[in-house]
Amino acid sequence: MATICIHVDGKPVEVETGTNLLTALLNAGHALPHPCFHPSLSAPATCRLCVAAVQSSTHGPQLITTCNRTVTAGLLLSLQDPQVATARAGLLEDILLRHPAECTICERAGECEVQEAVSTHGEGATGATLASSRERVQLGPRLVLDRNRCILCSRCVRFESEISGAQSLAVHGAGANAVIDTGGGGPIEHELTGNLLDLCPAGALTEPGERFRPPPWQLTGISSVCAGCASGCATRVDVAAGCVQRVKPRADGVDAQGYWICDIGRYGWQHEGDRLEIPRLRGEGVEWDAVFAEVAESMEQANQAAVLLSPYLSNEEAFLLAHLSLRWKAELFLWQAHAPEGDRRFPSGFTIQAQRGPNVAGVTAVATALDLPIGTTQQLSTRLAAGEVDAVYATGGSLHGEGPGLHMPEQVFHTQQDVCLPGWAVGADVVLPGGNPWTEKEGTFVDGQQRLQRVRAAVIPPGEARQDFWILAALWHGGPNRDSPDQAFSRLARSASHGPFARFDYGLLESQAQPAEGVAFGGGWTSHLQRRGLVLVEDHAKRR
Amino acid sequence: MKHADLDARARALVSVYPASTGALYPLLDLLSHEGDTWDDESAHWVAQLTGVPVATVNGIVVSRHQTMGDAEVVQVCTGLSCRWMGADDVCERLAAHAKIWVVKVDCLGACAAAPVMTRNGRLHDGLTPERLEALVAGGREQI
Amino acid sequence: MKEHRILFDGIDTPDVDRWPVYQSHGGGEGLRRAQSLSPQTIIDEVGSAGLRGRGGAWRLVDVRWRQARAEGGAQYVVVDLLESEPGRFRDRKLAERHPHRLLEGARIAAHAVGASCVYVCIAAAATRARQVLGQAIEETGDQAIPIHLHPVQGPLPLATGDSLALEVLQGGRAEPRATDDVPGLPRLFSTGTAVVHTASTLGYLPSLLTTAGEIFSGVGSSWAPGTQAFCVSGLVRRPGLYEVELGAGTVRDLVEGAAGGARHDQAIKFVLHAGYGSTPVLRDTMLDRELDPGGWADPAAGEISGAFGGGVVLVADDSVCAVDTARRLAHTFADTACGKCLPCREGTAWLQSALEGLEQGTGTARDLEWVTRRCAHLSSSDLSLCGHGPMAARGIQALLEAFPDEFASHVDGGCPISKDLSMKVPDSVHVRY
Repeated sequence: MATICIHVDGKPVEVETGTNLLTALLNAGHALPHPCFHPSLSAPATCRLCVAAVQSSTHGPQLITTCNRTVTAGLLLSLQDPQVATARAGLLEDILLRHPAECTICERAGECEVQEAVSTHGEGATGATLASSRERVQLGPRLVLDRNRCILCSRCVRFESEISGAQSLAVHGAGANAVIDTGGGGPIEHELTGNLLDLCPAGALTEPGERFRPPPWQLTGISSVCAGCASGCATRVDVAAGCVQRVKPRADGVDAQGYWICDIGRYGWQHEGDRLEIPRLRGEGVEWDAVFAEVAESMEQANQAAVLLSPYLSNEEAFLLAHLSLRWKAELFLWQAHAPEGDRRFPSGFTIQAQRGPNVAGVTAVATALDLPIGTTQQLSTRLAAGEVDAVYATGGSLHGEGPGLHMPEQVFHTQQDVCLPGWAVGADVVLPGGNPWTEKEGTFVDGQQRLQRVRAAVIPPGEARQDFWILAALWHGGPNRDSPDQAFSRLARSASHGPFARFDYGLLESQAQPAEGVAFGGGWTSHLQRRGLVLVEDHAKRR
Repeated sequence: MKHADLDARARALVSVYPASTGALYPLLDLLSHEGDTWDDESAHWVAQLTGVPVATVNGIVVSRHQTMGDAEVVQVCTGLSCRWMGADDVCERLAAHAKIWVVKVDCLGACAAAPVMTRNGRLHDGLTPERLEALVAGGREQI
Repeated sequence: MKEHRILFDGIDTPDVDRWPVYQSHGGGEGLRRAQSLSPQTIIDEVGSAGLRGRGGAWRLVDVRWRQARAEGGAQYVVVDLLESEPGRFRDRKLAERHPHRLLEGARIAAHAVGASCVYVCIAAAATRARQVLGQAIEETGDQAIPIHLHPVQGPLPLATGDSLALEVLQGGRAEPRATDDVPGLPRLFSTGTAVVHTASTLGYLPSLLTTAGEIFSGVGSSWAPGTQAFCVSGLVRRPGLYEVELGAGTVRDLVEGAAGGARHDQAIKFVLHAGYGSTPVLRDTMLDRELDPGGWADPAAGEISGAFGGGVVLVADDSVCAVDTARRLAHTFADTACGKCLPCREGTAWLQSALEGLEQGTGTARDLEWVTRRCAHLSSSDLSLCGHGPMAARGIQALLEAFPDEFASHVDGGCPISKDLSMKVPDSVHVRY
């Protein structure tokens, strides 16, 4: 990769040719405010806050916007030049002419680019104001626009045009009368709506109820992976007081889908039915100790046992369950679910995979690594109907009713390890309350593009429910133990030394993403990248 | 569909541009002379012909001095020359007439013959109190 | 001050807006000669003549054409007849009185750059110009290069540069594009590139080509050969369009000599020689500045401070209040701001509000300080996305600097000027329809 050298405030900076100039400056650690710029969108250069001064031998310093330019060799930039500082302070003053001073009640306080810019580059209280009273409008069931807070950066307009393709938003009116509107179009309801909340640099776009959640400085963000489909989008699960408050896309993950997640990923962690919280044996609530021996005995003594793997199992859990199936001499099956309409692909390339659940590829790879064949639910169903299987250990994990929907004959000993109990499993002999795969799973997934990623538990399961790994490890070891996903993964990697898992270990995976972090003023994609010195800001110019 | 009679002319306009979006402003101009009101149907009609999204079309229309065949819309120029030569006076005199809707604009490009106004899309410059009265009373413009 | 007509030469011939009359008086010769020459020769001739754009930037025309040639030609010529700046009516007059000259000039330009199509972006409200130009286009419809009228409803931002015309041509919002570092001519419709010219610039081409540039010989200044048709309006006896030789007179010669000076027993209070963005505001002996853009700091890095402008001259007498004028400017700039970029959108709105307060007597001394401070910010070059914001700030600040006492007295609540806003009639109007 060819690199060139530019100078910023006298210091040389090495950058790849063709890199967007603002991107290069951000990656080099210069915190330039840029409310209207986003690496994944076109750059209209309208907020002007990213200005820098270019020095030349022929004339005095000239201000340029850095967001819509490419690095050129020998470029001499000054960010410290007083002209630049004055310009930026004046621009922030421009924002504050009409922007309401309501940080104390604003949903976005603590992760607001305007707030961050003003506190870093502003000159203190502004003396000039311009009265403005514009409305709050509901743009869709999950989207509210506060036009007083809107700084008309047009990111939302460009997102709707370039990423979602819905083209639902536009600037209405001109000059200071301009507002963002859907004018003529209907409410915004597509599956990428939630990304508009992340995009808005001020507190203009919010979701209903957002203000009742704890503010970002009370949140800790846990780096994880979405459990919705096989896309493997990186997420950050934000937690306060031991509860999940929200799920956001994480830009410093392996670049699955850039800066976006779909609304299934954003909101899918909330279950629809009742959550399983107590182990049950023949309908009666029992202690965990009571079930391990019972299950082990029933599975071992069965004439023919079957283990039903789930797309929601982690690789480590699949590994344990595969070994259990060997011990029980059980046949392995895997249930899958697909969205009937197929892959949902957006104009930008963002795709919601039809394959539901995060780890079909991983579970399959684990079985392959252990040389174990996997059957389909169709095959299991046939075997059950023919009376050829008399014990089934089934795993679920879906929060939205996905599952094999098997007809389980009365005489079959049925153990169901799940998060919510699906209707077809109501008669299960043993019900084991497992972890929410979106927020209570520690392990790894492999997505549809064969990417291996660490998934982390953000909260502990409620009541007596346990993480799935704990349940399976307890079954394997005969009771609660100190086995961990880390160790299980090592065993997986060793046992299949020719397989794909052999190259990895948790240490390597840890470097993929910081496990946890504070969210306020540091959760944004640029500031925490700068703290960690990672060159991961996507270059839109290169994408074209 | 009320725009059906304009379809042929609209398509002729679109054909002049290598990309259909180019016909947006000419279509808005056509509607300002031939249409009656701007509504959802107009927006969708323009959007479908040009390929410009409906939200964008509405956003542009809202920002324009779009007059839609209204009978008595008068644009009075309030540029500096016109102001000094009596634009406010023109507005006051027009205000006395109930059926006239006065829109103040910043320049009509006839500054040497200030004050200036347009009525029903026609430019009238070099206004005097007498000419103004005659125009408002509905007399034909004599050039 | 005597007129020297090149651009508007021939408009007194009756019916010269009709093709047969235009042709019988030598019209079309320039294009015919251009078609017999190589594009390189045309470019060299126009370059030697030193033709500069008449929109206010005064850039050399041949430089743009050479760039087009270096890129293998430009597919489109775009004529910018949006002419939204208050006080400017030159392009409209050219379209109304000499449409075929304009069309011929556009076709010559198309030939020089290899364009196959011409679009004329014209303000929808310029009804007379549209009608006459439309008829002229129909009359010459069979000529090789098609010309299309593209009407655009106002309001439109001022001093935007070429990209506004390109944006509205493609059905985009009436907003300019930010300057970036993508080299080459701007693209249009993603099918080709375009060369944009102000209408009146193109109007010189027929005479230049007919005379192989000789018509500019010895006319004008060394930096800016030729003439400029000045739009003089406001409180003068004979407002109108005066085409005079550049560098052959002063502002006073134009305003008092040609346009007759102040009305009745009034005296000229100030002249805005560059329209709404005039800086400085000219008074007294400043009216003796030369009418040669080559001597001004802007555009030619000359000795005379301020910007020469695009030939929009507004004359005020003692019945005009400077604060009221500044308020009008602020209102117009806020009204016509496109709203795309932050500093101009917010800055012009605030200036309108502040000056409204000052004019009405509710403004404070602090408000006045803030006007200066905000104007200083908004007038920084390259901070706004286009020239609209800086033009607003400079024009308002110039008035503030020229009449500080008047502004100060408004702070204390009173207006010392007895304004006369009644309808007035000039002695005559030079060049009407």
